[in-house]
Amino acid sequence: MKHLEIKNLRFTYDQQTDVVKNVSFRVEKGSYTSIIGHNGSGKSTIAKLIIGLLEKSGGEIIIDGISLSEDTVNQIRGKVGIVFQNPDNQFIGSTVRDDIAFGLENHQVPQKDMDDIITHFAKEVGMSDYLENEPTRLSGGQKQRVAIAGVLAMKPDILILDEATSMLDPKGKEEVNALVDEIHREHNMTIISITHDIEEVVKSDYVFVMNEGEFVMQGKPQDVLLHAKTLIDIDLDVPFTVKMALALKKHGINIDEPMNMKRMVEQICQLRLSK
Amino acid sequence: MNNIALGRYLPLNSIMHRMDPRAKILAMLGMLTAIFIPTGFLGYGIMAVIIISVVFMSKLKLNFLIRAMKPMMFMLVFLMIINIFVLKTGYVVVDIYGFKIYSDAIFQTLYISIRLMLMIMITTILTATTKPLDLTLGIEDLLAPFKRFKVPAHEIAMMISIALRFIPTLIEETDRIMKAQASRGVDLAEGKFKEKILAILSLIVPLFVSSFQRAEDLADAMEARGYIPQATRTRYKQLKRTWKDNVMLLIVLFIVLTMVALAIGL
Amino acid sequence: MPIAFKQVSYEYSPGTPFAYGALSGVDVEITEGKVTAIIGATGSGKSTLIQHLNALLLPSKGEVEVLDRTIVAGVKPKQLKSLRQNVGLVFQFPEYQLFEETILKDIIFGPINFGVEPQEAELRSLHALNVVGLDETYAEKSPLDLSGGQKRRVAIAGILAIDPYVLVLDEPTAGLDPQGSKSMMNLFMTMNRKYGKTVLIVTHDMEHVLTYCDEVVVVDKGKVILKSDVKSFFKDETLLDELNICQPKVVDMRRQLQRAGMKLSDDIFDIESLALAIAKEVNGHE
Repeated sequence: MKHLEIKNLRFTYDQQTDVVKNVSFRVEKGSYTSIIGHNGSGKSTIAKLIIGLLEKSGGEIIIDGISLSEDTVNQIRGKVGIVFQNPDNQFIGSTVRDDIAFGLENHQVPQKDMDDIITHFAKEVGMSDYLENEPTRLSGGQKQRVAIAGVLAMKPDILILDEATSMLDPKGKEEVNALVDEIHREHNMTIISITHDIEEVVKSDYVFVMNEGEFVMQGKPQDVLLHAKTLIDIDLDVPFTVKMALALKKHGINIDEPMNMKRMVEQICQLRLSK
Repeated sequence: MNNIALGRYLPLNSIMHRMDPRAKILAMLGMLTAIFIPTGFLGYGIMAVIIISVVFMSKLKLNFLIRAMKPMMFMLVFLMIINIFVLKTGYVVVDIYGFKIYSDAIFQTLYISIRLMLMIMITTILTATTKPLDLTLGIEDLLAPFKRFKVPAHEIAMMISIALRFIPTLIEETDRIMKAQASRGVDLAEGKFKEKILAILSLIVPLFVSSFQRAEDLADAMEARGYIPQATRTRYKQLKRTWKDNVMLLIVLFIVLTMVALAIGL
Repeated sequence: MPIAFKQVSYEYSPGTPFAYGALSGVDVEITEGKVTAIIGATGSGKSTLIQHLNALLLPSKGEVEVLDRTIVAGVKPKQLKSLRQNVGLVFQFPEYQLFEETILKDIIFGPINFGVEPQEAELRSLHALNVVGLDETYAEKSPLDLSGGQKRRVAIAGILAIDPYVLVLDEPTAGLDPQGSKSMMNLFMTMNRKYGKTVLIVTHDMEHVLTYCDEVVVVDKGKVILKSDVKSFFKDETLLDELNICQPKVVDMRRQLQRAGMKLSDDIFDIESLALAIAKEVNGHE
């Protein structure tokens, strides 16, 4: 089932600069899709267009059969949740509890149901012990987890991560990535991750590579990420394992699964024993 | 920044902390009215006794209140000086080589000082015993009847609560920018006037730029989570009024009436 | 001229209920002319540590030696300006400190504050602009028209134009894309190798530590628990595990292969050497 379909999407800034040029793509229900590109490639603009924070200059955005327009934008926002880059600037409530409640209030959830929902989703993201904490007393990773809880509480079908880990320290990144993986697995949630972290792309089902407002490559990670030269030319990086596989190839060693370090180590050991 | 006492919430557990914020706001307004009624020293004396007992009921320390009043001390001294020069009625209290200080100048200053101190005490009791967010909710509820006169009660409350939420963040940010500019040789204490202006600009401009960025991000986040200012929303935090709140309001009403009676000399 | 911390402690908001010690008994000496990484978990005290280097924070106990100055706890240091001129500190997300109408005016702000003659200051500023990879055409543009990465370069140029001996950077690559961080790190390499600056970088990125830095200082719970050269640091497997530091990928892979029984030298720290060594091992059995 096509969950999200985007046709010939365009966004022009100030009626002259094309930020997004004629982009089309589809996302399957329950899939994990990555959109990678360097800073300023237009990838975050796509996220803002999908939830109607920016008005598209052309094309169509269809979610669950509903086409995004001024009339349907609120309906769409109920289906798509988004976590932004800066953990500080999306924390609205003065405590974790109030922040999760914010979205519920907007969606007119009856007051008597709120406590249960808040407790449930705080637990889901591992923040049960911090319900009364103010944002200044939370780490970046914790704030992003609260943001995810706030989004989940609205029961969306699609979760968009707009560089949600790029301002976090390694521990925070790990926490948030693990949580997203769990939500993807347990709830069969459709994930769209917008990122420049190439290592994060490895685990996705499908990847779109963006440059200068267009998709320059797309496909499964193992197909896309092997194009080392193209990636580096558009200011991106190549995963370590791919770099390693390319270096080994020069010495006549061909690696079958260049995305997985564990498999790579096993294969090298086998090669050594078989020779 | 941690030394500021004025307007600060103190997380204690007292009967005043548990009162309904709406009742507390109304009580504060009532008490402020009572202070404004010119009752002379007797009235102020009674008010002072009542207010100080409420301070104890709130489990607040006297030195906390004194710290809250510190910023006003300068103003009071200033007022005293003006009164001494301007008010030349009543009898002469002191005569220094022909420069006379009159009794009315002293009394007038005392009146105003006592009133001002009592007012600060009252407001400090309110802010110290009420969480900022509860205060906001209280204001929203109290303003709700004025919605028909186009008073945007909800918007006002939302603005206040976001402002409160971002104060610590902005303090942190200010600290960081000050240090960053100090590393570029900015010295607010020394330098010529022109240099000082530039130094202040180097702090204010970045603060504005980043605040606008934050505001934009926050607006996006709020909208993405389904916030529409005009739309009906449910409310998570509900305020509960008890009989204690009614008793408090009755007492305040009684105090106001007593003060009125004192003033017109019944 | 040394940079050394001697038994330095620092407490925030001393004497209030909010007081907390951010540093306690720090003893460390930074080697001159090197690139030193300062690593440690968020909240371990790294930022507090580096703010002592240009006296933005003054030690509560102990003393800090910076170049020809000694800052002793409890003694108010004089002429902070000369110290700040010699130690250039770049905060996290420095793009937020830009405030002038043009890029050149913003870069020149620092040198002028430190009393450099206007003409000389302008020359230095234009040079700094070049060093960070922007040409003269940018000089008269508004900093607000730049991309995030470019703004950061301008902010760093503003410190370089002061021409400090020591350059201290707090997470300079945070939020940048891969190529952006790479060229940023190369900029600091140039500052060190070509212009002879002592460089200190606070970072979380172990790949950067391995690729660009000479020495590493580990901060943990307000203490400096280790200073070592980068290679021996990444050789000490037990220590890395103990500190819960995620290893650079190339070290991780070598370890996995070694554990699987391959004979590889502990001195392999880059992809090419590792590939060569693997090839020798694999083909050596022929």
